[in-house]
Amino acid sequence: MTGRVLNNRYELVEKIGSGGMADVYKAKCRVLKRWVAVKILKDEFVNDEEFLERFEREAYAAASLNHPNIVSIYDVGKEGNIHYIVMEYIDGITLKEYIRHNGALPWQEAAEIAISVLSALHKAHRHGIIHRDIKPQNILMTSDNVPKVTDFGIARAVSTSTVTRKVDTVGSVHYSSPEQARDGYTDEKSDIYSVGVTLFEMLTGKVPFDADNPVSVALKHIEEQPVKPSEIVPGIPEAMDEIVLRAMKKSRSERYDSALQMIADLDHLRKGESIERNSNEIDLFATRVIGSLEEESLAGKRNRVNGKKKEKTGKKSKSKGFIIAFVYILLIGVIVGGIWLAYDRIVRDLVNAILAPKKQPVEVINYIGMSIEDAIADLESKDLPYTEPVYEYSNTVPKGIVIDQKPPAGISIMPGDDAITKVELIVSNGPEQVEIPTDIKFADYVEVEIRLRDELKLKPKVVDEYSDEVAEGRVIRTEPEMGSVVDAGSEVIIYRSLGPELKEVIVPDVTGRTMDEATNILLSNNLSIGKILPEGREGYKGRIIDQEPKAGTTVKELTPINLYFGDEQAPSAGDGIGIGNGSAGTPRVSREIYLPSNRDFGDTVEVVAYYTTGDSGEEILLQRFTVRKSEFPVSVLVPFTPGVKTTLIVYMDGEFQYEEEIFIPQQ
Amino acid sequence: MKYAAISDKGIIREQNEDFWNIILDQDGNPQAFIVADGMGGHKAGDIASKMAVESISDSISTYLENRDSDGSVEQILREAIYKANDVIFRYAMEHLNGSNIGTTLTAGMFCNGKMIIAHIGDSSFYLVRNETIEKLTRDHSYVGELVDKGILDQEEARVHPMRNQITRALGYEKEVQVDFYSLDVMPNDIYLLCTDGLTMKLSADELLELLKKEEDLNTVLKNMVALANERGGDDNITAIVVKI
Repeated sequence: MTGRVLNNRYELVEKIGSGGMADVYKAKCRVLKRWVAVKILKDEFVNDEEFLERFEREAYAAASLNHPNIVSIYDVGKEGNIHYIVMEYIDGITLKEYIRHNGALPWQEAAEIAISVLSALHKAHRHGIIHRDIKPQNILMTSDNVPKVTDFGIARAVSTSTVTRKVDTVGSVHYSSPEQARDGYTDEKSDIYSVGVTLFEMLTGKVPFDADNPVSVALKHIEEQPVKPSEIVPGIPEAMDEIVLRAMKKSRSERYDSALQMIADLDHLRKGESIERNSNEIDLFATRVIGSLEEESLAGKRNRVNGKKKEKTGKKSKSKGFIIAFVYILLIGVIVGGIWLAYDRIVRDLVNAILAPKKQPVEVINYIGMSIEDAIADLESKDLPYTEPVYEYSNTVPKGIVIDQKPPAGISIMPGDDAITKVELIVSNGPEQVEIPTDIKFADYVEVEIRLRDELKLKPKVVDEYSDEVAEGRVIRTEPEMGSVVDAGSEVIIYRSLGPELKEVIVPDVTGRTMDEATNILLSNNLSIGKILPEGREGYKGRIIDQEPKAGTTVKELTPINLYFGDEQAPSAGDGIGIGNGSAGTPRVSREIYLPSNRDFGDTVEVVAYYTTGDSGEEILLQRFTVRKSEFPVSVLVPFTPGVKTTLIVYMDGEFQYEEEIFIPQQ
Repeated sequence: MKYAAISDKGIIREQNEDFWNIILDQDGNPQAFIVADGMGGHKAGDIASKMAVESISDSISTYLENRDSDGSVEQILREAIYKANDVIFRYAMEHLNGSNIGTTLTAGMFCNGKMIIAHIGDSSFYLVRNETIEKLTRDHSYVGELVDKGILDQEEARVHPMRNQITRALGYEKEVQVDFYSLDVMPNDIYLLCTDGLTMKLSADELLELLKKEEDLNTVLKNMVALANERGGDDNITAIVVKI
């Protein structure tokens, strides 16, 4: 594969990794002249259409995530049987390798990494994307030790593939939540569990549950309790043990509710603050305020602790204790409220103003034409605040390049997160991409043309083609093929069916044949049955005396061949059992077929008459003929059985017209 | 004894990666039955199953011609399987850059009034006796093992996202572990060997019903395949049925 260029754009330079589902190559993007990582799906999956669809969908969903701790997805594509994802190239190692190399990490570093991973998950979860396969192998460490999570959502596509595979013995099962191991069910809290396991491994250098086969590992996740990390590595704070064990609770309801909640606890721990416990519904902000307050107001804290103690120990004077506790709580509430306001409005600003080094305005440089990654790297290096980049489609600027910026280059703004003016970047998303739908095969070409033009902003062009399997006027295929992702505004050829290609055939000789024989011969030569003449005769008894066109003539397939029978009165060979005709002795009754007034016809009308006897429902062909409008009404003879209901059913020009019941009583 | 076999690629897959064989002795009596469901990607998916069936068939035929081995039939099968494992594993090393291929294997062989069954992976061997059906083999698959442990029930296993992941495969690693089962052959027994393309779509009770409904074994197998395909047909389907 190395040396190959995918879609004339990605030049595969070197294989840098291989996983259960894909091989990863370092590649050069010829358009944007940058390094990228190209993940190429393994062979065993490329025959599974359903899987490929899901894979693509998940990859596109993940591509919408933009976060410093998420490996960006640039492109999803295929060339022939090669399906690939183009991602940000990270010059670094996986967290697994990082742990293997460094052994157990200091708990502070583990907390930092976990916070980064959780903040990536927080972003994804907010967008409704579950990772489903969080493990150190899917967390890359850049050369600056920035963790970046990769392979969002792809696990689901892979695990649901119907391809028989060997269970992954080294990977995911060590990090799967109990519900994932048991039922395959996953949600945000499964990701949190997996972060818990990853954190455990960072702290101790080993996974919490291990065994010699994946099923035993899964069972341990379902049934066994993990040990405290501090029992393996002494010195890990108790609060850290609690965070890990809470993330790894068997019951989903006992875990952290959100990535944000777990970040809050890790953040407190990192800053040496105590963790707010027993609360399932704290958001980050609230937690932080109370935490800060505890530092500010020791008195308040002491009060609170005392209050709690009283509540627990004061059994004798329960109600008194309760009142005291209540008063304390009220008091704390007032103090908290007051200090919250004071702290937030005044103290923080004051402290910032006095303690923080004096900030200088920084000049904003020109980012237009720069790649978004470089632009953000520059902004971050200068500590300049920026808003989430806005992506817009562009037919002229390649994807990922900044199109516009605010404020313009040359203006100076204040650095820092709290600055009011933030840099806004508008980034090209490349040309708008649309997928040619796959459900348009066999659809009417007009509908497809309209849909491609109006809904998908494509330029459809219709080209005619013969097809044996697609009916006339219907869509056979498109170019590029259905399912391809193309730029909006590009041309798509719709191949419209002309029906089967009509070849030329030589008309066979059917004179001297019975109707049955002639029908077989004509149909097997791809010809159709024309008029049966003389019209109105009784059935098709006897043998054909003439045909038109004559035997030996060259005609197109499906040409109707008119057949002439002898006069029915004339003695026939007597052996012909006509199609749908009763035996010669069946009594018949004459009926007139009339032209309905409520329908428009051309100059000639094709009439097909069937009849059914009794309630059998079996429609027997009586007669098929084409006549001029002026010749109506036309008489037919309908076989009947006395005392049994007979129904005459009439079709005109291929559509059901009317039916008539005939009942002739037994005599 | 009557027997029939069928192999159908299903309606989704482009190729059939299942293989089967019925090995006859010199008198034309069937002695052994094999089904195998290969894995390893669209270029190599059928290699392991084909090699396994060919290699094991060869070993059994050689044994049947000479019957000079002192070993039991179980011994014969075990050696045949180890040899096949070696052949496949080495082939992958030498010709496929070491990329892993493998196959399931379920084989049954007659021996002195007994049926000896060798089994790896998630294909199945069913016994129908006294109007009841019993799956004798235990799946070496992630979900199969969770079922054995009582964590999942059969229905949960059939819809589990990891239902296609097996824990043992022939030719996948340097060594392979084989399960053996043995049963006394009784008059009117029916044996059904099949790949998961069938068992993922039809429950044991449905298999039994189809076996009871129709006398002709070829028709039974056709009906089974038709039903599996009607329910999605997303995998290859292979089955051998033997009626004593």
